[in-house]
Amino acid sequence: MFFIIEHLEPRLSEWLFIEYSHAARIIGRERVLITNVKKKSEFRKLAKLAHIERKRACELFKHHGLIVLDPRARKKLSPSDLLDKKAIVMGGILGEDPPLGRTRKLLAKTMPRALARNLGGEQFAIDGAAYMAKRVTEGHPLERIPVQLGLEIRWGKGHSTLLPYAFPLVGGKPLISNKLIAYLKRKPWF
Amino acid sequence: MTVARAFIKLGLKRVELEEFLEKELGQAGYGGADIRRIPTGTRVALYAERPGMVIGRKGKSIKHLTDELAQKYGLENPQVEVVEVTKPELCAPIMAKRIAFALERGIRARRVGHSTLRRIMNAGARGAEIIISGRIAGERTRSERFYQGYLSKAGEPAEKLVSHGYAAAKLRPGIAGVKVNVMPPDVPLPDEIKLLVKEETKPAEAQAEGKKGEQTKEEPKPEEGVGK
Repeated sequence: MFFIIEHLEPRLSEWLFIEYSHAARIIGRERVLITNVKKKSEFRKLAKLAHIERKRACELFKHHGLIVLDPRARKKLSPSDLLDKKAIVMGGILGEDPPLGRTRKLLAKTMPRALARNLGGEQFAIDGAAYMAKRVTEGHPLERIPVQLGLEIRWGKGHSTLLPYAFPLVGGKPLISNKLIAYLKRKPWF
Repeated sequence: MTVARAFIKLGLKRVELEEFLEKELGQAGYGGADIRRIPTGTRVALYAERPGMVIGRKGKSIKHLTDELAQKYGLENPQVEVVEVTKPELCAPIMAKRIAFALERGIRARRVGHSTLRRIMNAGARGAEIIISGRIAGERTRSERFYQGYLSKAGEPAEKLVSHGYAAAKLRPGIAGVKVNVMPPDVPLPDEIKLLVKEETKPAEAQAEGKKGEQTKEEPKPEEGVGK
């Protein structure tokens, strides 16, 4: 099973790069394909992480062999959905709160014959979605994968950063890249 | 359904009125309004940092505002009074606007958050919380939270005792929302119980009683818990 991340943000920010690299590490470099990478500089940068394609996933594969992960899809992803499918497509989008439904507009609508499924309706980060999808491909139903809604990272006395997304729990701890935590601490914001 | 619609209509009217007051009195350091029905009409108490600006020259501004409230929003015989906010640090709407203004001037969110929180706590607040949230291009939405002290989050105390404020800062990368919650120092919390101690008998009375030969000494007895 291949995992396709369709790059849909206008530019490759540091945050996005961290999420892509973490997702590639979770799934394994050989099984990840990042599509829709148009800019040369981004192509060069992402080539270190996974397989890269300039074209979109809808141009590269037959739609009926794909599963699109869309939080607004009607049904949940289950291991039985994957039997005759070749790849799972995820949106390379940095979400908003409340979600704007960009995955549907920019990704799911381009592949009308692909199977649209959600990961429980919550909005996951790209690496979190990759982890959830990987677990389902291993035969675990979504209901058995523990998830935490929202994450508060405390920096010190009286200061924290809130991330309003769903995070899968691995060994009781939310799955988040250490690089991202370092980035949030370092990067001045607003 | 009609009852529900009537309540929704009432709520919408209230929000519209609140927006109008915020727009009109933004320059005067508007810090909220208290609107109550009284037998002779409607009492509107406006809280502002600079009451002079609300009243205007020879009361021109307040007269105009009273007319607008009566005509536009249908308030029955509005009696507008202006209350000066003596400690703006304890008024959440004012502090939210100050933070938004500071962000618009280009001061970093973390610096503004820490310094404002310190100022609120130094003014004597029991507790405060500042949440600055938003999204800038190439990043996910996130919120920075600054907090200190005790703050009720749920129930009646959170609704009635905590001052809530919200403001939006229009920045080049996008709009940032600022939420401020302040718990003032003198609010009576329902779980705070003060035991009243019965007063000891006065010495003059004791002497008088001693003369009668019935010298008694009363132990101070704590009464049952009485809310503050």
